[in-house]
Amino acid sequence: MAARRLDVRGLEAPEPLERILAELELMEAGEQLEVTHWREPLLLYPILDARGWRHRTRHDEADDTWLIRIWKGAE
Amino acid sequence: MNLGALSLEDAPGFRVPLQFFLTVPAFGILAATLILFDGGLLLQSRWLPATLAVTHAFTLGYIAMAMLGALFQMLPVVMGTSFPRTEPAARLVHGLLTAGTLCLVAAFEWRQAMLFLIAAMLLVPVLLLFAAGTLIALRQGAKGGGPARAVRLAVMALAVTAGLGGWLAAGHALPAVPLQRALTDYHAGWGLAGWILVLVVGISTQVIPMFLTTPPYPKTLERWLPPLLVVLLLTGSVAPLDALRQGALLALTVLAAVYALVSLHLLQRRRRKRFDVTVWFWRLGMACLLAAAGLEGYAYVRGGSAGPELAVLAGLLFLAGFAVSVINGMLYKIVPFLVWLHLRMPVLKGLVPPGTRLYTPNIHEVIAPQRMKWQFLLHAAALVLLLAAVAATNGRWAQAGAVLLLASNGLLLFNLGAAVRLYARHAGSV
Repeated sequence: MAARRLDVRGLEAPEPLERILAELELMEAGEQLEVTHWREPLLLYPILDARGWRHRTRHDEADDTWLIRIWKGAE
Repeated sequence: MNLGALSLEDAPGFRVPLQFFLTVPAFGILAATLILFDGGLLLQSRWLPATLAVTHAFTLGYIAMAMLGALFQMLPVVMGTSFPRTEPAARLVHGLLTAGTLCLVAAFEWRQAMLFLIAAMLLVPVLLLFAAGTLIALRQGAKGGGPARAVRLAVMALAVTAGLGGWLAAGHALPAVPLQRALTDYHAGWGLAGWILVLVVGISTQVIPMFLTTPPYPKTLERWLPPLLVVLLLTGSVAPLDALRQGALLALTVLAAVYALVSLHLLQRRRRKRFDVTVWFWRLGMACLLAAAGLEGYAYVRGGSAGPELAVLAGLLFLAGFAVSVINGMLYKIVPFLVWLHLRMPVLKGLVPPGTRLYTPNIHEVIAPQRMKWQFLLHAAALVLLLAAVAATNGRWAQAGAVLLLASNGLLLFNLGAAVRLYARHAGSV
């Protein structure tokens, strides 16, 4: 499935949140977004839930980054 | 799989942390007024009742007030959990902490046994309640690794500090309870190193990279520094050998200095170089922590021959220089962020139809940058004068420092009030 990528490391809060939500607005049906973040964005999750987006997070131990995959409907 | 356990309905209301944050400068004003009227005398020894009144106006009224308010907010945002019954609990904690601190300050000022007793009966239960509530919240599926562990340790140290403080207050109030001055060092040690330092370390490793665009702190420091500080503090408190206790406390001081140096280094490596006054609050705070650690280290080396003014100087550097500066800087990040978050919430939730015009605050202009800069200058100048007053035993300089401290906290109150007014103006329209 097509995936957009967005790296929000090094951005000042709340820019990562704004950028992710702006990117989601641009997504076509069936697309996924993969976000690279330096910490786990706990504030983002309930916002995604409220908007009907689903998400799955993975922590990459090697370079200590968090990868958040966001999609709508079936994965 | 990682599903967010919180819903937006769980997020604490704007009022929850703000009631604490707006009380912070009021206690700053009280501390400054006490210094002004008691003159320079109170800065000469840590044992004078007037000195202890000012110290507790800072530690409880300013520092704990800000930290408890921030934790009510950070448990959900940074650690993915929330304080049990957040809204009523926050109102109760705020009310009792405010009343208890006022009683304790008055008790020291007027040396009233009954006031010590009332202060202890208000403060000890509320601080233990807060510690217990936070530990329960963190047990219920907290995330966030390092910071969650640091908060857990810090609130345990807060409970120890409160317990020892209660015992000391009873010593002041009741003839049947002997006033054990030796306990004061443990009370101060657990309060300063266990509660304040461990919490600032745990929170700063999150908020400095998040708000000031620095590279992240080294993982080893984020993970191990808070538990190591507590182990050293414990060893320094209960180890059977004097040499072991002294060695542990010296190692703790060295680690505090290392943390300050790492923080200063990271602040130098910000990705965005735009002027930001909060960076200067953090820099000043870390420089003061480094200086306080240096003085403590010197005092260990000199043993008993270090003068009493050295202890006051180190205490002033740690409390007014380090803790107050970083808290002040943090308030200037957290409060505009909260104004933004609460005004933006309908948009974030996707409740606003596309094309609707809605006011969105510019997070950098919620509080006028120029007024924050002036407040930083007042704070820094007050600090320099107060430190010079202690070093030179000069009462006039202490009073001049107190006037600047008063002005600094007055402006802080005005600035935080401006953010609240902006929120109130637009909250009705969202």
